[in-house]
Amino acid sequence: MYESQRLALKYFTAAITLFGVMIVAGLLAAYYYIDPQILYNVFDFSTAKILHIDVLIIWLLMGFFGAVYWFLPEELGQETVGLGIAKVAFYVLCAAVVVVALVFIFVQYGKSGEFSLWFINQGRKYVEAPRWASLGITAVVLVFMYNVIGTAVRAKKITGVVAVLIVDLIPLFGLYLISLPAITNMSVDLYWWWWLVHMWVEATWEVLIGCIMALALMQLLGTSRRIVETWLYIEVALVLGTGILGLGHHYFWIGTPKYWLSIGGLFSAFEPLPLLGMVVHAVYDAGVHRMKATNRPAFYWVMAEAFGNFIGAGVWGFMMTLPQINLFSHGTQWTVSHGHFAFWGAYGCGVIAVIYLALQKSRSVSYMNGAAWKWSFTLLNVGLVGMAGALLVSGMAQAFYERAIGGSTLQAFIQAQSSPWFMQGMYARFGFGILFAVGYVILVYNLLTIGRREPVGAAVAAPT
Amino acid sequence: MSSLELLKTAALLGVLVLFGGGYGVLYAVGRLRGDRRWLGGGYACYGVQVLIAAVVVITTPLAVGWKALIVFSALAYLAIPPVTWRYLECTHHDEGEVYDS
Repeated sequence: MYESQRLALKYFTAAITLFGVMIVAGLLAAYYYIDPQILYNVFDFSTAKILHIDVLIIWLLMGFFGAVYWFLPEELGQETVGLGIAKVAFYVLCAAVVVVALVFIFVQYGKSGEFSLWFINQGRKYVEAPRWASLGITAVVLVFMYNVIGTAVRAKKITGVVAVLIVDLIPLFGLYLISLPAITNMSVDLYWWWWLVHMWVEATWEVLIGCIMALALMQLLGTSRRIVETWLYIEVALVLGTGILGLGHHYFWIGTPKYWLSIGGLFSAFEPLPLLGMVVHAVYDAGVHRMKATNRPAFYWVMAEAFGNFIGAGVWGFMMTLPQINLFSHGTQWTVSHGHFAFWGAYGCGVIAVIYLALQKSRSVSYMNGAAWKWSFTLLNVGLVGMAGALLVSGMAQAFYERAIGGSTLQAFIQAQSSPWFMQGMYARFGFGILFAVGYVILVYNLLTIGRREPVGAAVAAPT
Repeated sequence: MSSLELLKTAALLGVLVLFGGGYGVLYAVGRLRGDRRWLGGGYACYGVQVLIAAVVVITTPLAVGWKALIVFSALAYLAIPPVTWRYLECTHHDEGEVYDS
């Protein structure tokens, strides 16, 4: 095993740990809707929500970094360059995440001023981390870029997947600089802030996970490089073609020019089309391999990725992306529902699949299967679909009572929040959240134990 | 757009894409198994999708441009599974990976 892959396993451990923190914070945030008094003035909803969404970004990012550190040396036949600094960056990132989380939990907020911006909270959703931590993350991403590009240069070799990855890292790094706010006009600030959030989630991350899944498919199914790279180019072109200008579907109620709404609606309406192609591709692969692979959990998580992405981003997204709908649904639990489903389908499932692949090799297991992964797979996916469904009901109630009938007044907001439809959705979301958490516990148990009982290098016959 | 029209339109748009997905899945399974029943199920899904597109165009208060987009989308959905499938077969055939139904 390459040293880079040992670092990858550390990243995966950190990612799965943070995945758990995200779930705990999410459950707490969900419970506030049922009992708003709980921990009032001690640990408010806003702090639980910040932890929930910021940790979401970090655990996925760590999963992506781990996946690249895992596949890169095998892809280029060369140990990753600059591993010493990469290890330092890993520990710095972990320490920064812990410190920022402790500050969020115990300090929470400060006075309006530079000190708070630098050391407590920058106050912008998803990138609340204080400025010192943002600079730290920027440095870690730079180290990551150096590792990838340096390895390609040292190996004197570049593959299609690595070329796409390197090109993608440039906007991935550049866009994160927007997390350091310098604009006092709120409309202009939000305009650029959406560039960061949207272009990461619906552009650069899509390309990154596309590269990671391409590498994973070659290892998991033995798919040829030519096929994988051809599809990577097609899918990246289609996803970027529809995704970049889909940015406009966020530009509601922040003072941006009206034409953005039409541009955003038009391009994001095309987003389900490439996802449909991916679903057809997934069915083809499943059929070719007759739903069997030497790593069954990884195979099923890859399939879940294709279907989850289509339903979460495609179906849920299209429901609310046209401006006449988005006008009402924007910023309600409806969006939250879409966010949960799309993040899970597009990224969460993919990271879990890669972790199973890495464990198979690191534990020298020829065939990965068992019962526990099936339980975690089922509970996590049923829990997620249940949460997304429940949030959809609550969000539709909000759009209906608060926006369409009540005209978005404060009183209408309060009335919508207390409507039975909204509340029942919140109860159901919490229930499915518990189910999801149980699935996570089994996932952790499975990741810790799978393949450990098999003798190292045992050649267990895998079904063909 | 009234409150009820909002929910109805959104639900129709979601179901429209869902049936597009159903078409893609059933079409692909039908091609894999060489089974006309699955293929027929896929085309039935597409039929429902077209029906939903028609309902969106006729009954919802979306602007004309968006209705045109829905019609275009419905047509695009028809082409995507067969075109994707053909290309998949081509690329896999060249590599000697052919599905044997």
